[in-house]
Amino acid sequence: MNTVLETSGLTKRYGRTDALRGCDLLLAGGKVTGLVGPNGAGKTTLLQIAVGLHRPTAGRIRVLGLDPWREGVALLSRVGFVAQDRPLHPGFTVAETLEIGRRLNPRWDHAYALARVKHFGLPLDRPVRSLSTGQRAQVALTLALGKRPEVLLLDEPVANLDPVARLELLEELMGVVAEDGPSVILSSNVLADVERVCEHVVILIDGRVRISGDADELVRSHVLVSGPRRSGKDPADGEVIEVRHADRQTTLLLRGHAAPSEDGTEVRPATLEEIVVGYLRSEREEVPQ
Amino acid sequence: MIWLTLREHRAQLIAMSVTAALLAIGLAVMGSYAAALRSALGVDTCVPLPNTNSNCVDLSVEWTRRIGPAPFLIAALFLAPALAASFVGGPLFGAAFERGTHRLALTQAVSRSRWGATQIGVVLAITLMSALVIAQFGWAAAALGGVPGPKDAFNTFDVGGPPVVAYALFGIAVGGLVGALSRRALTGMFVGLLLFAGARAVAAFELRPNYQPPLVAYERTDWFANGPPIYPPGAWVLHARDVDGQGRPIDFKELDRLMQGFGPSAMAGGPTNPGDYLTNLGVRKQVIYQPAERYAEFQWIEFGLFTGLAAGCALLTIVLIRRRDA
Repeated sequence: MNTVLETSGLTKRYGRTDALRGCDLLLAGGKVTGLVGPNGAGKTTLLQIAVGLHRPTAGRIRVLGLDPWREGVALLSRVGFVAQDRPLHPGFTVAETLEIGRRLNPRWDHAYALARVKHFGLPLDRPVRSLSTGQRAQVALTLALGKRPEVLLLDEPVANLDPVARLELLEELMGVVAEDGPSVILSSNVLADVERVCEHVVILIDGRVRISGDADELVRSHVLVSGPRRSGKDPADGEVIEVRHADRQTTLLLRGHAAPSEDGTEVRPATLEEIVVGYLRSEREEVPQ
Repeated sequence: MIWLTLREHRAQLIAMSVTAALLAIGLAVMGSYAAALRSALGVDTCVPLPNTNSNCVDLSVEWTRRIGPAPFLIAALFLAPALAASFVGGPLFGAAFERGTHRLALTQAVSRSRWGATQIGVVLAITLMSALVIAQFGWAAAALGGVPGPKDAFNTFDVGGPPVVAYALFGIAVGGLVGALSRRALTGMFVGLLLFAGARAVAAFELRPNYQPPLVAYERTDWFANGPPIYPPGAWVLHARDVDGQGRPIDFKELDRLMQGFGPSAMAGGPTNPGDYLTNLGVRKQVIYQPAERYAEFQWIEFGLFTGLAAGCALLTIVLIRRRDA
């Protein structure tokens, strides 16, 4: 298995705040991995450490076997990155923006970048500030893809996009990956999107990896069990992730399996969104006030 | 990387170069005109009429009237490095950090050192060219200020020669450093400007008078005598004051008190001239000055000081960019 990203005990402290606390992760290549978790869980920090923008406080990280902080130049010729909010120089034209990539990357594929821009109908001579948010996202993505990277890291790539632009970008991304493209690691708060495109899901909570696993496997292994209200009774074989009581009904998120029973218990597969939210809420309830 | 730097700061760099060029042209034209007019009118060769110098004053007034607002160019020359500090230095890194575009540059296949060094190096190089141009016009500032020839050269210390170049470089570097530290363009502009002005003031008022130990000359305290000064022409006078026999400065009140003894003393057969009376008491006029021939040396010392500060700020900025989370 080729590993694209590997961390052990990765910790990042900003002043008194721990953004990452002992994060252990192993991500294989050739996949789209979704990094999910609440705001402040450490998604952006993890990605920024992975491209050498931030320096870990403790622990170890390797991307494509390289240390991002020490071997940044070697790594960054092979890694594409789009930061949160897709920073671009507003006064640069699209052509000038691509020129940055051409001049600063040894493996830059200018023909490919131009073809992409043309495909999306982005006018080369227009300044970036006059483009729509969706168009800017495409320019930023092209700048990252033009390197012909082995890994593409995207921090909230679809944030602030309208539903159409979001869908287009995600489909585009899947297309790129399908044609023997880079492995992709993206962070997102939109769980439906993650479910649509990601084969692997990492749930980050409070600076730690809560779950890292195959998306299908994750969905297959979790069920929602709902039935008449009761308390504390073990419903079936498996680990109860979260219990929610409504007036007359109790709903459990269960890692494992359950069968419907005569007393009105229903069992249905959980969506990725329900699973992630379940983990998030369970974690929050465990935190002593 | 050089291309990116030039493109990224294109507007500021063009504005700075154009401003420098216009200033240079204005100074060249108006400086020559002012100098030619001054000698045509004969302002400096004027011989006062008996009992009055109003004929010479009239010439001087006429000269001032005819050159119009041109002396404001001196102020422009004085402010130019400060403007560069603020408008070019402040946003140099501040704007990139503020917009997040540093993340764009730093995630291409370039090292942090290369990014930081090229950004500041290219901007300093362009600044150097502009500054070298306007540093040639100290003579024009002198002409516009009515300072003829090498006499009173120290008056135009801040607006001509090597220091102008060093001020400009320092301005850019300190603005760049503050912008990189604060990650805000506006903070870089304002705080950078304050630090620039502060450093200039400390250098001008505290350090420059002592680049070499000043010389001291004494003369008779005499309110009515109007002889030639005892210090050489063109000197930069730091202090001219009365001192008592022990060399302590004395003010007018003290002098007044001493003079109250003059009448009785004269009646008793003492000196009948106040100057002689005070001289007998040990009172002298003390002049502390820097002679004109040190001008060039002082200019190079100031150049060294500010170039050193500029280099220090630039290095600190690069270290900061290398070490800090981006």
